[in-house]
Amino acid sequence: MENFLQFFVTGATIGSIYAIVALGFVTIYSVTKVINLAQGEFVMLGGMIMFTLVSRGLPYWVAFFFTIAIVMVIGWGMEVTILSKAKGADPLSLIILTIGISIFIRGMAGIIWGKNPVRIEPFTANESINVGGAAITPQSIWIIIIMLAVVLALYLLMNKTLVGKAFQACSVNPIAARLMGINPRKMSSFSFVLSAILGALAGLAVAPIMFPAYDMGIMLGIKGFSAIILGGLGSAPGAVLGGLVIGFLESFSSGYISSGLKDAIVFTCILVILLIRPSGILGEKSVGKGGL
Amino acid sequence: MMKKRFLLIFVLSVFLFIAACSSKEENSGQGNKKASEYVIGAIYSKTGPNSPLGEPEWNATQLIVDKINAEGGINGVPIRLILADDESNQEKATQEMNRLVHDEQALVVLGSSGSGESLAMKGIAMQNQVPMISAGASVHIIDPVQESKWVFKTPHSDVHAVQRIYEYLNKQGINRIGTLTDSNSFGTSGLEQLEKLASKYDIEITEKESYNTQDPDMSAQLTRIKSSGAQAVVVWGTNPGPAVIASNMKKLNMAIPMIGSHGIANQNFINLAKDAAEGVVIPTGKLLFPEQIPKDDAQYEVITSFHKAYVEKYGNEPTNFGAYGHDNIMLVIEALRSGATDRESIRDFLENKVKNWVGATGMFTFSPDDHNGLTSDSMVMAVVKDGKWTLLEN
Repeated sequence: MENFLQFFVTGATIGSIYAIVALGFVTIYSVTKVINLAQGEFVMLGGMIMFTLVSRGLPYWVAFFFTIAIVMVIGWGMEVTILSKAKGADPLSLIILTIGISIFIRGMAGIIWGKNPVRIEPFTANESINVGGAAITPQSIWIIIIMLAVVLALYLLMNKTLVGKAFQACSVNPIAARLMGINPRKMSSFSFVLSAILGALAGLAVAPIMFPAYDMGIMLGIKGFSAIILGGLGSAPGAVLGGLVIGFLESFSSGYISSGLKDAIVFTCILVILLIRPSGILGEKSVGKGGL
Repeated sequence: MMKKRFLLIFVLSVFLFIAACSSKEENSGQGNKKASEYVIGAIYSKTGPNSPLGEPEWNATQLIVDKINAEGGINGVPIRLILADDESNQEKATQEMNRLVHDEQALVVLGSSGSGESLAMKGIAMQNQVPMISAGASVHIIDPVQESKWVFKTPHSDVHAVQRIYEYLNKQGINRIGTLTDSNSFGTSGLEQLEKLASKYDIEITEKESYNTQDPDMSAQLTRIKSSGAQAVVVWGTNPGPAVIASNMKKLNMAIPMIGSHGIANQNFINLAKDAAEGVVIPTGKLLFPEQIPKDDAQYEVITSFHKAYVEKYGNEPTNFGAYGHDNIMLVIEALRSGATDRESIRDFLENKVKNWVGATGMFTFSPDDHNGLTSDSMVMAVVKDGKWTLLEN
């Protein structure tokens, strides 16, 4: 029983990490139908920029917000300088462009920060907490809190504000949205800024646990992408659910079956779930409708 | 109109490029016959996942060749070093190997950093009868030796590290261990040796677990090892995995010791795991702490002078990988100095004439049965004490 609890807590930690990365994919997809494969790189930048700022002597929380601002500017710059120039390109070409951008960012990061992983101190004290025999670090709890806060904030933004309505309008029908006076170009920029913020936030949250390095984005990008496919493209609660399901599958399969078979088991389960529900657990039947 | 002009320029530049390439080939071919220079090829993983290994190897090679050339070369003949980056990719390693062997007519090829890349290069070396000295860890690079006539390697094999660890465990009276190994080739090769030698040292492996290098949390695997009654955890991997494991063990309050591999013989592991690293024990080459090597050690001179020159030029630690790069190129220079200046005689020199040769990694004695040339006593045990790797007295 004690082991079960530990596996559960570990699964929740891993799952929340994947979920928080997955949330970044959702915003861009729901507005532009582009899957930003450079999302993992935003997460990596969040961790690495934080490391630089802190080691330059900035106070922790000042560095925290500066990091978000810098990654935000990078995300915005990426949309303005590259993606919006590819006028009228279909989403598939844009997705390929994001792959190129991710390789570029990763290469630059390798030159700037070197190849070694770095350490970032956790938000609060590092003493692990005992929950009925299972140990959990405070940072894991922070990750869960941030993840829930992001889901709530996205929900409020999308459903309770005018910007959110405009977002949804662009997603459902860009031409009609333009006729109503919404600028889809602006909305697209905004979605990249938003998901860069989410990426940076994810990077800041997971960095103290994972020891980020220049190539961390690949693995997290793949896991985050799997999570949104599993949860349903374009759905924020789906991204969280997908991330958690993958986390629990990983933890329980390495706990009860074999850590060597972990990945095989996880991806088999994802395939089976997708065979039963091709649009993901919470995905809509018609993906074209979009919506967050 | 514009398009046509672009096309024309493009075609012209392609022709120019081809012309430039072919003239270069002729030059180097002729150069070899006259021995106006010695062409040495080196393929190391300067980028990609193996770059923490490849970068010091790359730098060390460059450092030594620059020094030799500045001193006037070998018997008046300069070395032309061709460094190639395989990007930690086996296909790229094969490509570069073919280029160095056929186009550049290299006398000998050094590398690569990873075991997989080295094995990919081995076939080409054997086929074309080119001597190759690898910096990869796996014993399969030179095993079986009958099928590795042209291939040598200087790093410690996993088997040396495992022997060292088991000797240490025997002394500590520990005989039940759990293993937690990376799922990459370094980890699986380590696990293979751990299993193979366990019975010889009377050690029982109670639980075998694995992880991926960048997994965020290994608590589930550790929980299993904990309940299997193991007295120690042997972790086989490179950063950041083992640092995450050390942190997880602290989180889970596991009282049993963590034994690492030579894959984490660097300061970076301690920087990452901080206080969770205290007490972690590993087998390592001596270059990890040159200042702690006793003066009467046979390698003292080689290690300290190389370490000093490396730190002066690059401003960071050469690590054990720098030692592999150093030994690989120095062996070739040794052969060239003795007058072995073609592929066949360099190979023969390495196999038959290198006896008790002092390198930065250890004392090498190659023979027709042993193309690694090291014994396990060229490794020492180290422990993390007060945030530093410290030599563990035997």
